[in-house]
Amino acid sequence: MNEPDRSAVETAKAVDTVERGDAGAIAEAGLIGRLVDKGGIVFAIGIVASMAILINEVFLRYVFNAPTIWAHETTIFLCGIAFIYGGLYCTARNSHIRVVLIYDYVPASIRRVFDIIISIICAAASAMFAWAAYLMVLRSTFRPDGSFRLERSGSAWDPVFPGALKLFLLFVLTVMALQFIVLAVNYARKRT
Amino acid sequence: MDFFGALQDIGIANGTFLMFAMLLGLLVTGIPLAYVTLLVALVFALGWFGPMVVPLITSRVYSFVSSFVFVSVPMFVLMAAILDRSGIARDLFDAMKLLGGRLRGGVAIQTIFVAVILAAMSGIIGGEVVLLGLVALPQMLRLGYDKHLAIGVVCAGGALGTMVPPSIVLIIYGLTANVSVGDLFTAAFIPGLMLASFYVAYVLIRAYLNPALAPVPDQNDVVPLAEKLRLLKGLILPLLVVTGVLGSIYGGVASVTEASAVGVAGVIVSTLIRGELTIALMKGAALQTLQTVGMIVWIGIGASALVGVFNLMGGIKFVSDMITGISENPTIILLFMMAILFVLGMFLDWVGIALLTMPIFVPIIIKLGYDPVWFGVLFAMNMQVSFLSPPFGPAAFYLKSVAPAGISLATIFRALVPFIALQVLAVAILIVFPGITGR
Repeated sequence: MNEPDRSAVETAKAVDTVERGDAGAIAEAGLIGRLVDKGGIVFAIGIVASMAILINEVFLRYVFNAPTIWAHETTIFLCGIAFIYGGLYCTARNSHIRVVLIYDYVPASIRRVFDIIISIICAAASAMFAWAAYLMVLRSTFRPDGSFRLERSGSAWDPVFPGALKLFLLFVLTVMALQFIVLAVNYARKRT
Repeated sequence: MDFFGALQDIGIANGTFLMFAMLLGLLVTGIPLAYVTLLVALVFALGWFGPMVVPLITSRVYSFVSSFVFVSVPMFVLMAAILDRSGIARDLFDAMKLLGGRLRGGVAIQTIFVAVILAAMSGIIGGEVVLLGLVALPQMLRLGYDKHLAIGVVCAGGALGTMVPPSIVLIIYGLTANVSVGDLFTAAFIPGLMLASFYVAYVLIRAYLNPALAPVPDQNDVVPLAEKLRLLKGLILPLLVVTGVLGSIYGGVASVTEASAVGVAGVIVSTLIRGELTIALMKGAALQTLQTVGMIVWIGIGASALVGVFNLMGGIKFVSDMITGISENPTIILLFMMAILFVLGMFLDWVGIALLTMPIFVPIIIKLGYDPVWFGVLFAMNMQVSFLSPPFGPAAFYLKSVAPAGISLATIFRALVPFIALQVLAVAILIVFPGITGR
């Protein structure tokens, strides 16, 4: 049974390369890209943990008839931060879905110009949204009198997840803007 | 003159046109879809209103990522990612050999059955197309099947992942249209199987009309009984997972989100039983999930932001008046919507299409007296076409990445034409006989 086993491993590898591209951040993403790529595992584990929490919840409900008050909100939070981080992760790995109709047909020198301009535009957009997220965070992390209080969900458990998620969105958008600036600089420095 | 608010002077008709032109223009330059929509949303937020509405967009982003039903998306993606890395699908394919046997076109039909079972386990495409491309395509080509038939079966079969419940297309539709995902899954079941049966019928008809397209394997390829029993084991685990996922949704035991987690657990246990579960496998699958949901969610975030701004501008009302104004006849309006979806499906990703058009279409559908759940199934069926239709049929690109060197993208797209026709036929049947959804 050696033969099928070997081909199974090959299948897994091929699926890996096809779906994940060449593993890791693209070279132009620089140090920040490598860090973002490394950090991905934290949020990936978060997704697996959400799965475990959901299973646990089903189990507690049916076997012990004792559902928790924290399972739903925790899974939403864990997946929420993974969703937000996932966008940054794809940026560092250049794996966002894009239409390369023109892009693929222009010579490398023009493509470099495209890369630079695209990165600058995306940096500007991310920065604007980071600013907007900042305004949102101001409202969700401070009381009207100016004292610090993270927004809570208002449920029976009342975690600080809404405030934390908004703060995290601000953080990711800021890093994303920086990432695009790094990309723009590195594309500009690249010799073709 | 100040830029803020200046765009408002051009009026909503020109504004809508400008927005559409910007979207298309920026899209073809190669900017990622997620950022194109965010950027256009930003330009219009600033140009139409001013800086004060930008935080409204981020609030939308926040509410978008914090919905409980949405948690099922990473679960189904994770499930597919683990499945793809294990040998489950390969054994499933071998087991289904028993079904094909010496039937003409048997391997193609076997492939479609495997695709349906895989589709009933998880809800995405990509992995499925790649898997079938690696497992089924070489075998069909080796047996001397017509390559167009073989390619079409692999791509169309792999795309079934988003039609047969559970399907993330239906989950996203349920979120935007505000209808129960459980109802959508119930309604999509028979239409999904109907589409698969069209593929089977097509293969059989083609193969019997022209036996050269699908040669029957030699006598010595026939498997002995002991081998058959061994192969059957490959069926047990996948069927248990399917029963676990669909059973807990249809049986009302768990919510869709919980059922998706049950599915992941089922696949993990299956890989454990098979002795394939390793840290490396889980790590690879989890990281791929992060990447895939990052892609999906950010397209969703962008589209949701854009629709939010467009709605504030009064654009949704404008477009919906325009659509309802084209005819008195609801069927014509419906067909017009289908045409829009077909065209968008050629260029845009389905997540983007769902979030951009459904806020406009669903209220019209309800106003015309149609059932939004039925329309969701119709939408999912329509998106089946978008996976195959050139120039950006994702299924074709997935297959190209694993197909033998001799198979070009042009060949793949040519092979897909009859299958696209079958999908369109399925859309038409759903419109003529809405009862198929059981609604």
